[in-house]
Amino acid sequence: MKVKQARGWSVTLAFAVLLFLLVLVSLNTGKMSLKLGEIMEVFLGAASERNETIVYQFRMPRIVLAALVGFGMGGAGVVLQTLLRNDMASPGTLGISAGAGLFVMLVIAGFQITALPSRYLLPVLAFVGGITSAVLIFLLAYRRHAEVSPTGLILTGVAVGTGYGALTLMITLKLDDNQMEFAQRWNAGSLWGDDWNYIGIMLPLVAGIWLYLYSRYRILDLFALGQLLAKGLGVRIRYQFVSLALAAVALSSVSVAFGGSFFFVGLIAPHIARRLCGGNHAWLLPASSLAGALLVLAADTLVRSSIAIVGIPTGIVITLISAPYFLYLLARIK
Amino acid sequence: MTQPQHSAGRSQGGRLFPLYMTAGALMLLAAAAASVSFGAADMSLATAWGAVFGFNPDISEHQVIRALRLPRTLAGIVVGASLAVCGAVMQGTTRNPLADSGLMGISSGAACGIAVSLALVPGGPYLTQMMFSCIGAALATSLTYLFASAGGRGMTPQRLVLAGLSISMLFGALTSAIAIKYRIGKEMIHWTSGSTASISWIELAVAMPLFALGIGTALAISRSVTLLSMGDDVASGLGLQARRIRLIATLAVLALTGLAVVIVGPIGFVGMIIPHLARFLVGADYRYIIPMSAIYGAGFLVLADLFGRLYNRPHETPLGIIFAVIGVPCFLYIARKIRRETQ
Repeated sequence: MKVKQARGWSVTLAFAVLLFLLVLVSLNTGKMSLKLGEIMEVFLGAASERNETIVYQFRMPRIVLAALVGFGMGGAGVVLQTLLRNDMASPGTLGISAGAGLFVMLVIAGFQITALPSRYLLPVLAFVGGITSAVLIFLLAYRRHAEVSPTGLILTGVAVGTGYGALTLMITLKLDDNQMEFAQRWNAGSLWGDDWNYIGIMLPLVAGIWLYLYSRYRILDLFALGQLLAKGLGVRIRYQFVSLALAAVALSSVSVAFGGSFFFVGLIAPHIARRLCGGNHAWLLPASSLAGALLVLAADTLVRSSIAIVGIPTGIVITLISAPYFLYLLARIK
Repeated sequence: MTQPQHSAGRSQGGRLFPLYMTAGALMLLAAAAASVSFGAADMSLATAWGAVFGFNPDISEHQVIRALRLPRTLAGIVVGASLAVCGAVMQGTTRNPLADSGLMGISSGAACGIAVSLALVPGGPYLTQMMFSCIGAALATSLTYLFASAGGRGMTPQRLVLAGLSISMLFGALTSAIAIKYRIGKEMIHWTSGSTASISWIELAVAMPLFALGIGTALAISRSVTLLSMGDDVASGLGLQARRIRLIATLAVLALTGLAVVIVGPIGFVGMIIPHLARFLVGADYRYIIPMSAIYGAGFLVLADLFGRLYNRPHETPLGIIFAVIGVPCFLYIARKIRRETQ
């Protein structure tokens, strides 16, 4: 146990350092190239106005958004996997992202997306969608006198996700051309909310929910032992389960609302983290969140740096990178 | 399933088989007639009849029927039969009740093949698209099977669905990337939402031989599929070369899925639902299930297409959506049933 904790600590630190380096690389990436020195100047407030605009108005918001979306997805994924004791659980496979997505699409169809009220409405409705999905899946997979089987839950999630996807497509088809293009890019995972106004809403939400989850890391450790054992150790199972699950759904819904749908991030980031730093949530939760942030930011930097794939939504690149990894996991799991 | 039940189901199903087939054929005929007559503009059945047998190029309604409605109806029949037969063959050979060419990523692979062909050989002949589509289908199938059967416990339905899901997401992402990169998004929309709207006679003519070959193969191996569905032990005990039959079955599935996707795009759930319906009606013998699936699949798709045209006129509701709305509850029901049986 001691060895693992030491490793957890170093893995988290390594991820944080990597993320910092990646942010620097990402700041340098784009149509107009800036030298590292010039970026330093911007932060010291001694740069030209042009460079300041590039960094503060174009690159920083995008980077912060990518990191936040990945951070939220990675955190929500690890909590869901622990609560359900299911390796394949994630906001994507449980259909929670799809539910949040459907409601986001309703906002797009019903309101002007850039108008002020929809900015605040968006995360709230996404949360409503995510919760609806979660409850629906639980009701469908739940049977009396039997524990909810892990594969049954995922199959149900996949099916409900497909249904929500079809409804989303149906709404998409009713949109006008402008909204349609936005909807299609959103659906492919385009990190559209790269604007300080949106980040101003998203940052406190992600930080708040994440800190709440982190404050319960000991309880998550107990849940990982199984509900019976956790109960024996004095955890109020039902209350804790519901409140932690709600928080995880909220965290992923906020990410979906501003970033777009990233199916695999919430599934893969926890696996990478668990593999490297073991099952102690004091380190697992931050490590998984950071891994998610790294994944999304790396994919986004790739999209912006390479001419070959410029203009392709980030989500597509993430799927191309992470679907093979997921298949590898699937092949290994018994 | 115990043996007496099984044989009882077969004999009863066999007795009722001609009846169900006639009913299915009548339903298909009625659906086809309705599909030719109703649409953005309604026409009488007599006009439709005239367009087919006494074609008069001066009547604009005859033109519409000849150029749009007839090929569309035929396309629905071809695709519906293909997908349902694919599902039946796959369910039998893999012993997996959730098998479906849409859910297992085969259709996404085929669509991705079409995107590649549009990007590499723009404006190429129709045959090229079909070839690429079948190659994409083959690639996706082998990947799905590979990952679903890797690891200790072999290919459970759940694993197959999860592997199929990720393979179809992978190919879906590749398709979008190619569509954006080569600016063929507009051309690809036809293949991503699933629509029979823009079928031409030439496309049907190219697809027809492949269709006949695929369905013929499926019918020819139907007896062996029944044996395979009882498990490899039984099948090899009865002297069946399981491997060879599986290979032939897979080739037939690839051809049928490839052509279905070229004609209407990836559509899920048809291949899963229809064979279950057939099995419910005629029992577990694939000699009956496969022809039943062909007829009922065709009728079902034509009806769904008609519904998509009539609901919310004059806008069209894509087939993919209609099938998802019908298919998801069926999927949940079937998945729940298998879990109950396996536990």
